[in-house]
Formats: sequence, C-alpha cells, structure tokens
Amino acid sequence: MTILSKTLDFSNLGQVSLRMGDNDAQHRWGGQLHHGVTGNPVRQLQAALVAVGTLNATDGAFGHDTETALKRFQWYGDHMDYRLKLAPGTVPASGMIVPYSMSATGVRGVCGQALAAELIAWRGGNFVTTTPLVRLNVAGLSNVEPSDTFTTLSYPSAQNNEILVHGDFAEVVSSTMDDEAKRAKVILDINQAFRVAGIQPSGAVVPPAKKSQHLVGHAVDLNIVDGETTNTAAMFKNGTETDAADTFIEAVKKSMRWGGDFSPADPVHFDDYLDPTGEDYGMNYFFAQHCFHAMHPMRLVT
Amino acid sequence: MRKLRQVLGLAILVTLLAAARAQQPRSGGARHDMDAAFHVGKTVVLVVIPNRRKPSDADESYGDWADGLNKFAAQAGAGIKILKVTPLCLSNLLLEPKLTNQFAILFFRDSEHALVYDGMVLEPKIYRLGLAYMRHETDEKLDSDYGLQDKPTRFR
Ligand SMILES: [Zn+2]
Repeated sequence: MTILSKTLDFSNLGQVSLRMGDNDAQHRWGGQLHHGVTGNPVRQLQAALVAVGTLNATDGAFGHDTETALKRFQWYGDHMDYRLKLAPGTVPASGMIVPYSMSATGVRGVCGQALAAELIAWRGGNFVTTTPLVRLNVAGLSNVEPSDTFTTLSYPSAQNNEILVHGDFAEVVSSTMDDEAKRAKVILDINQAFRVAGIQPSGAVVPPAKKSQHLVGHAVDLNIVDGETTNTAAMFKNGTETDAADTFIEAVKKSMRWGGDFSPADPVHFDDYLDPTGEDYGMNYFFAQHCFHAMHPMRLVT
Repeated sequence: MRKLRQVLGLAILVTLLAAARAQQPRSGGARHDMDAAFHVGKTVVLVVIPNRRKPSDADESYGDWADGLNKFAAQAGAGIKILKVTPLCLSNLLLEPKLTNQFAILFFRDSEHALVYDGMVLEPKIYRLGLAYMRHETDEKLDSDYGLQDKPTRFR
C-alpha cells in the first residue's frame, strides 16, 4: 500500500499524469523519459485497475488495454452511483452494494493526481466496480409477468418473478410499460430480458448478434395477452392482433422502439435503444457481461 | 499432340464436374442425413436459413431468432437431429409443403409429417410446441394461434 500510494501520486516524478505509451522499463512516464528515477508507476496503476475490476493483468506498459481499463473506471465514476464493498480476501459475488459518487474523473484515458488518489481510496477500502443490471421483481407490477417459457437465467441472486434488466430500463418497464398495459387492459408476458453474450458451451447453430439491446439489458421480448388471447408474432404478421394490443403498442412507441416496425418484423421485441456504436453501449456491455460472469450481486428493484 | 492434350484435359474436367455433382446432391446432402436420422429413430428439425451474408450485429430480429434457435439446439438432446438448409435446398428436397419465406422451420415427427412455421421463429413457445408435436403431444388450437401448421410432407 505504501509503494502504491508513493508511486501513484508520483511524488518522485512531479506532476506527472500517466498516459498511453508510458512504460516502466523504459522510464517513460507522462510522455517523457525520466532517467535516474526508480519506480513502477504504470504497473501500480494497472494493479489498482485490476483491483477495481476494469483490467485483467499488469505488464508495466501503458497500452490500449490499460487505456481502455482507465476509461472504464472514469466512465463508471461519471455514470454509476453505487459500487461493491468486499470483505478482505473475498470475491465480488459476496460483496455488498453501497452508494457512491466520484468527484473528479479527469481527462479520459489519462491518470492524473486526482484520479490516482481516487484509485488509491478504492483499493484501500476494498471497493470494486459492479453491474448496471438490476433484478426487477415483476410480481410487484400489476400488468407484467414472466411467461411460462421465461427461463430464469442461472444466477445466484435471481429469484422467481425477477427479470434482469439495466437499471434505467427497469424504470421503463415498471413505469411506461406497466402503466400503458394497465391503461390498455393487457398483460405483458415476458419471454426474455437480459441476454448473456457469446456462444453456449454446447455450441451454436448460427452466430449470435453481437450488438443487441438485450446484451446491455435494454430490451424485452414479450407477448401481449388480451383476456384469453395471446397476441403472437403470427397474429401481427396476419394483421389479426387485438385492438388492445395495438393501443398498447401505439402508446409505448412514443418513448420506445417496437420490433414490429423492423425489417424483418420482430413484433415481440421492445427496447429503449442505446446506440450500439456509442461509448455508453460499450461500457454498459462490459460491466453487464463481465459482472454477470463474476456473479456480482444485483440490486433488487420492486 | 497438342489437340490430344486439349481433348484429354476437357475429358478430365467433365469427369471431375460430374463427380462433384454426384457428391453434392441438390438438396445439399440433407436427404441422406434425414434418412440416417430416421433410420436410428431420431426426429428431425429442418431449419431454413437464407444463403446470404450474416445480418448486422445490431439486427434485433436476427438476434432474437438466432438466440432462440441456439437455445433450442442446446436443449434439444441427442434424439433430435437439427439440419440447416437454404430455401433453394429445401425446394430441391421437398415437393410438399411449399414454403414462401427465407426463414422457416420444420419439425418432422416422421418422414411423412412435419409441423411447419413459415418465417423467423421469435417465440420460445414455438419450439416447445414443435417438441410436443415430435413427441405426439400437440394442442391444435395453439398451433394455429402461433402460426404453426401440421403438414404432410413429400420428398422429391
Ligand atoms: Zn428481442
């Protein structure tokens, strides 16, 4: 810890900010050579990023991976208002979700003094970054339910009646969608929400889509149930869906996308669209997928 | 001598082309694979997929379809043979039924009957109904609601 704080506040280097191209072995720090100065600040920065969960390994060279990891930590500070606190020697799966706010994240991809201090504080307090996903308990909603084909993802903290979605999208489901379903007098039978990325161990028949809204928890697939009638994709294709289904769709389309408008049509799909080419998509994807695999606890939203 | 070489070359080319055609039936070998599966008591699922470049990674319709199909395949078990065919390959394989979409699925109970969905499957219920059909446990009302049709099949 002493070494970490000494090297990360760079007291032996002056007001240096670590950046792309810096390298301990070459004594290049802050974009300049510092002959005669000892230390391994890049490796220490990397160790801190590994500790907070945005980097995999240390090598003493500030390259693309380190820059990405730093940007992830900075994005997290700007966008997330909670983090995990771990008991010493434990893994994130047994961490505790605690509120948090980061004051200054600085220039993206560059580690200045303030950010170094923040990382030291995180490491000292055993804090790690965590998932933007939440467990939405739909039992608390009047017009949303898991369908009989809904498969609860094998996730330790998820229970029956809980669907995994992004925290922002949970509000869309529990307010816009549930409210409009109530108004249209329909029930929303959820087939799928968050989707785990990649190929299943048993192999895939076809390659999966790599930039779906489901992968960041911003989409649901559902059937609209109107009394005894389940509005299926085939009914939308034939134009035989019920009036109440159309009423619901028209209402939610003011703030969401409906897959029935896509080509080819996907009438069971609804999302609130996070631009898949944007930074937010990439960051949410990383934290959602990475923390899912590491089995981070998720906030329960009712 | 030069003419003889040309004739020989042409003859070899014709022979090679004929051999290649014999090895690759117009149904892409699906008929052989289906017969082999039926022979050992398996049921067969034919997945019709257009022969084209993969759609964009942000295509949600493709993504929902691909995810559902992969999940079904992962859970299907050894008693079900899943075969991919192109629409052209399907029309070279079957006289009946005739399908109109680029995407489709046929759940074969035996070589003469299949539950057919002529389009992209986007609902897990369709796979559940297809499985029930192959096990002879079908609810006919649900079939029509979900766009599934029990069809007699006729091979070319
Ligand atoms: Zn979807």
